[in-house]
Amino acid sequence: MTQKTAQLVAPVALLALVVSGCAAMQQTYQENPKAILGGVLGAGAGAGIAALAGASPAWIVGSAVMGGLLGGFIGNRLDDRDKQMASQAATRAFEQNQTGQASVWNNPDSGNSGSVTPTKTYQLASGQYCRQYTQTIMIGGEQHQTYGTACRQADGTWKIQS
Amino acid sequence: MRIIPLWILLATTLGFAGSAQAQDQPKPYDPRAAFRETDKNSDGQIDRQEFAERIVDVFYIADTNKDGFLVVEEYARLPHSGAFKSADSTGDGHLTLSEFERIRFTQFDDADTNRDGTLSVDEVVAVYEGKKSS
Repeated sequence: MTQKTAQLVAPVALLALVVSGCAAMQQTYQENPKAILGGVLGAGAGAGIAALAGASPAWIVGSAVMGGLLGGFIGNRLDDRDKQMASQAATRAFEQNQTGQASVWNNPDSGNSGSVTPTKTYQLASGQYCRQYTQTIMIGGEQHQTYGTACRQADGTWKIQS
Repeated sequence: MRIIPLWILLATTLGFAGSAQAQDQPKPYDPRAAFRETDKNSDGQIDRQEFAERIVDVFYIADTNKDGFLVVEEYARLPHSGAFKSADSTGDGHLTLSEFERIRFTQFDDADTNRDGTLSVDEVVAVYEGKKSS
């Protein structure tokens, strides 16, 4: 198995919404506003907040995400369904996962899979949240890993910081 | 002011508890599992930096509308809603991350019985079990 790592470089976008030849470009993810409501309950599913609060876990199901955290090399090897699933996983991870909790996706049709895991959460002075993350994608048995930071915008979208 | 057991407060800070893996089923709070998750460098101690990172995560998840602060309704979802007024030092009805950190680090210091500046698993478990020695 080959592991290819892009250190702390935001993936080069494939998004139709964002077209640029610059590796330092930003990507925008639309989120499903309704899904936010699942935040506390879903993220605490391990126990902690959710259990102590007596709440049942809620899941973000589906999303309005367009695009994904996909660099050009990786993105070129994924089909549209892969990209959609990867973007949904990213939204779940950014919106509701605690640090270290992976959101995974798996497309049985293509055989490809992946995960997005927040690795650190911080808040800017403006109150804006940012989350560092790792993304792992398995394509044809090869593992590709990228790292980056996504910051939540006022309109609820996420931008990958270069 | 309502008195909140320290173990509950610590549990809500350390404890998304238990599992970065299992996402579907709530599990009982496990202080040891929460400790392992918080102890990022696996040195057997939770230092203030590790604790601070955990606090931000708790705050972020609790902030359901992601507007950057907690209101009483969001705070109430944590099992210690009675503490909101005392936590909200400015009394503006909005709990900032700084205010949240302030009360959480007070709990950290209370739990750090040997005053070494870190929390051991025994200290966390002792608090959880209500057996903390004075």
